[in-house]
Amino acid sequence: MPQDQKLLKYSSEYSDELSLDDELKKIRSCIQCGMCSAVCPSGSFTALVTRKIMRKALAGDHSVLSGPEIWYCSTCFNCYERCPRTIPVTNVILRLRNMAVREGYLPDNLKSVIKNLANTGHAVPLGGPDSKWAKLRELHKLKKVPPTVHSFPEALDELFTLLDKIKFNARIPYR
Amino acid sequence: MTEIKEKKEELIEKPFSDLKYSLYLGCVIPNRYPMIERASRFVFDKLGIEIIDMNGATCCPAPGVFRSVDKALWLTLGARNLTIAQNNNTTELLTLCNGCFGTLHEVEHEMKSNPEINKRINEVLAEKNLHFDGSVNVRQVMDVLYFDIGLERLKSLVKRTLNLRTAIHYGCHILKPATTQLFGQDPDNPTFFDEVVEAIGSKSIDYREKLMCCGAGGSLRTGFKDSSLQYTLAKLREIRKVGVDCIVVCCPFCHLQFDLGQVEVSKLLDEGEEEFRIPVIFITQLLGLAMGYEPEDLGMIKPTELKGISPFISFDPLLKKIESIPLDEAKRDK
Ligand code: SF4
Ligand code: SF4
Repeated sequence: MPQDQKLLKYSSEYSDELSLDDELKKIRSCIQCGMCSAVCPSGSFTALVTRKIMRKALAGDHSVLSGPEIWYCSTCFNCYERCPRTIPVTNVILRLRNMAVREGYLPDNLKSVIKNLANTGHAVPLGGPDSKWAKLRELHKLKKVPPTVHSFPEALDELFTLLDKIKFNARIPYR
Repeated sequence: MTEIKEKKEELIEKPFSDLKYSLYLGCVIPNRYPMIERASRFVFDKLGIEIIDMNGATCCPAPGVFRSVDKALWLTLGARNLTIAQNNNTTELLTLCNGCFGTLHEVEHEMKSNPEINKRINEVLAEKNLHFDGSVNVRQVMDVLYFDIGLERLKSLVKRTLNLRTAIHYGCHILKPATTQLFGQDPDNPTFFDEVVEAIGSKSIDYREKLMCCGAGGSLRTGFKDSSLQYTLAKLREIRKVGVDCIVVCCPFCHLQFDLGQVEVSKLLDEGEEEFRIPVIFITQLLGLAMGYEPEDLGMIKPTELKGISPFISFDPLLKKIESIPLDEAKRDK
């Protein structure tokens, strides 16, 4: 099937050393039944039509990566549980997002969260020992700064080393 | 699955003093909802259960944003967090969050079942002399309450029968994917949360869309907040229909989405529709109240000196109601 070839070429092109594409390949068994869309809460509120995402991915249609729809999924895993062909639909969407990011299609609002993690170790950082959140911790009789990476500079160094090791900054330059 | 269950049955027999967990805090709990940390530490301490901090832990990393962005990053940092629990000499890692549970449990699963991923990730970790040896089990607070403490012991802990009408929100990643989750219950018909709430003396009130997602996950809140609030609004409307004293959650991100979300959905309400003011509490807060502890010991305070902090919806109506409920002992004495 030429469609399959397209999909395979397409995915291997973007697959990095650590990401295995077995899950993505499973969409070849999609019968376009629409069960995934029927159980998708996001579908009631957004333009996400999971069945169409599967079809486009299968056809190697580039708009599946460049469009915003894959980012409307809240990863509730309803579709994953219900697909009659046991396609891990949610994981496929996450995999497509990985590929979209490699192509530079990362929604703007996510960039700051990635910066937070790459610089502080927390996606949602405390904001320092003088922040209102640190004061709130104190009022709850907790240590002002939690015993996470926030309290251990050597842990932050460890994080930076590991990020370098997987070449995170080269792939996603948001540090 | 059976293996997991058999092990759980063994655990039920353990006295509290033999229970020991590495506490994984994540991001939202320590940095935005410290009341959850306060209540959980307080309750576990009172039970005599040992809690060991995971010094230097990072973000899990969050399953929505980071698994979407880069699976290699997600696996590497997730596995690093697992090694902290391992180096604490604990086999049980306790998370208070569905998202952290989703990430850490799935990373645990990948590291234990996929030799290729195990090898590659351990090679990365070796750069910092770390190695995940598979000796850590990732646990969620509901799972610990349900299996390790158990319903019978929970019942025996109750000193104040609250009889509150509660709307339970399970959240998603504690239920699905069902193949990797712990409860052995149908994700379309779970009962463990309801059983725990009923065991500690409150009522779980059924409502439509009870199992629906809160809308926060998958980076939807981060990326497209208004769409994520549509989920929340749909659920809140159903909850309002049945009338409850509070919403009970077992995840800080769902907690935030329902608490701050009630303020944020104001702009999406229909003309003339009443604003939402339903208190949202964490399961360990409900447990602490049922055990007879004071609300302030469980982080149920709203400091007036700070602006723009959690909780965004006042506990007051709930606290007023609880104040009027005597301890069971006092009731018996009468
Ligand atoms: S439910 Fe499965 S088979 Fe049906 S359309 Fe969705 S992905 Fe394809
Ligand atoms: S996981 Fe995403 S695509 Fe699947 S049903 Fe939930 S919101 Fe829809």
